[in-house]
Amino acid sequence: MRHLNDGLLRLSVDEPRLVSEGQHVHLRECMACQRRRWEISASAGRVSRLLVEGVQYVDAQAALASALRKARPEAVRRGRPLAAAASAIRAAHRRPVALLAATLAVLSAGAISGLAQDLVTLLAQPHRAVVVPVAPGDAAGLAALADYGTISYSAPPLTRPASSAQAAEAEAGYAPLVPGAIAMGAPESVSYRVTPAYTVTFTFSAEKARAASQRRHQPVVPMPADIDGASLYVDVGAIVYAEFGSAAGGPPLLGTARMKTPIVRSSGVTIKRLQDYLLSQPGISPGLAARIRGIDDPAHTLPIPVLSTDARPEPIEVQGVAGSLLEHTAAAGTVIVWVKDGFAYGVYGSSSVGDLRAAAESAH
Amino acid sequence: MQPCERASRDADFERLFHAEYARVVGVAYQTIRDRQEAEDVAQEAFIRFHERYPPDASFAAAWLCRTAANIGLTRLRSRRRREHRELDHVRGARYQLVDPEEVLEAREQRRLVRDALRRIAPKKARVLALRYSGLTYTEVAAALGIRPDQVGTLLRRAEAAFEKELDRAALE
Repeated sequence: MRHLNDGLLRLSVDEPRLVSEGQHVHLRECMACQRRRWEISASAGRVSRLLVEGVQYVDAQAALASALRKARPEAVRRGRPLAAAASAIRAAHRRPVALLAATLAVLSAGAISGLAQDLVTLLAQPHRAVVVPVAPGDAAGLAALADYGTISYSAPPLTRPASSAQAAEAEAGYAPLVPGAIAMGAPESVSYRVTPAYTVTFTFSAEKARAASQRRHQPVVPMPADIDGASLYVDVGAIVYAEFGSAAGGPPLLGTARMKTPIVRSSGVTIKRLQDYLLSQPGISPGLAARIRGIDDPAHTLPIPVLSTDARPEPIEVQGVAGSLLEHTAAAGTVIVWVKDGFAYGVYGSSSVGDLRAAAESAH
Repeated sequence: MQPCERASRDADFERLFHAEYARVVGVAYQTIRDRQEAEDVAQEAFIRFHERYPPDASFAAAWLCRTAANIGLTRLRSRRRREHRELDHVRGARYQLVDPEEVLEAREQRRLVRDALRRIAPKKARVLALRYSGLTYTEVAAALGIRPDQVGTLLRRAEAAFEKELDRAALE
């Protein structure tokens, strides 16, 4: 049989199942073809390391609004509410101080840290919240876990502005968190937003995991048979935000978020087993795995991922329960989170740590 | 077009958008390596599609990926705007990438990759963009209008050309 050409050898690197049995036999027996295949595979690996730098998350809903606006402006003006909501989401993501809002919004959109939240949380009835700093490199690894299966939503996780506190409460089913004391003075503006409740379902697939690892030319820990086809469900409660700022606009001086604590369920395999499998994947750094595994009382702790290279969470007490405070020097903001009576709460902003602690302590 | 037909077509377009947008952004990103511009490119591809074809066309996904790659490569060749934006990105990220050497290294690598993609033949740059954004051989073939068994050959040639140009760019 003639030697395999470069195209077939390249195919055998990525999709060996598409190579015929006769060609496989030749490849097993021909040293020249094996050597050439190794060279081609090495070249593909080098190119892959340079080119595989995917976009980790896109907000399709906001992008659709933008595309429709460009294509047919009157459609948006006539009654598509997407543009306003998209703008609110984008604004939240752009404000570096809105850390918690961003985290929860990201969670609600199923993005990187949200996916981390979805996939690594060991929740039953969480009694406390802990901030888990996630470095950008780890975030990429977590995002790559999305390729290990299929993610779906019961409803589009879209955050919408609400016209008033009452309107926000009517949509979420519970009122926004309001600080009793705002030490920085009377706010000149307040706005409300709501992300309705929804369920995220992630179904594991050994075939997808294998294909993803081949695409990236990375080794992959084989997916155990009992995990292949197993599903993880995350019931995310409605999230209601209130943000207080100056009349001049800009980032909020103080914001609050309130949500029902998420409930994580699985089918086919225990959540602990899924966590162990995911944390052993090549894209997850030992540091992040250790931080997640090191959470005390994981069955009752809600980890809140925050993208950060320098953040150091600090345990604090808020309203008589354990909470977590994170000063994010890069974003010049602070986040305080806690869980109480079946709800997760957050206070965040660019005010001083003391002011934010006072706001959290007095919030109701 | 009747209002009910238009509503139905809009609904189909929204479904198509949600199903394919992330992938089309991924293809565009492989060419221009700028997140914001990749989204602009993807939206432009969808708009062009929306203006020309019904949203349930069987070739929609392949057409969108190919068009995104083409628009991305065209924009890659008008580099001034792109590099200006990248500089802004690096400035904005100075707190995230705290090590100045890391910032410079990332910039330099992005520049080398872009230069190499710009110099190789558009057909080769297209196949790299499509494959390395995650499309299967079958999907790449559909987007390029070739047979799946031709993808390996084209991809191998593209990778070789890319590496060669990368070496050349590194020497300049």
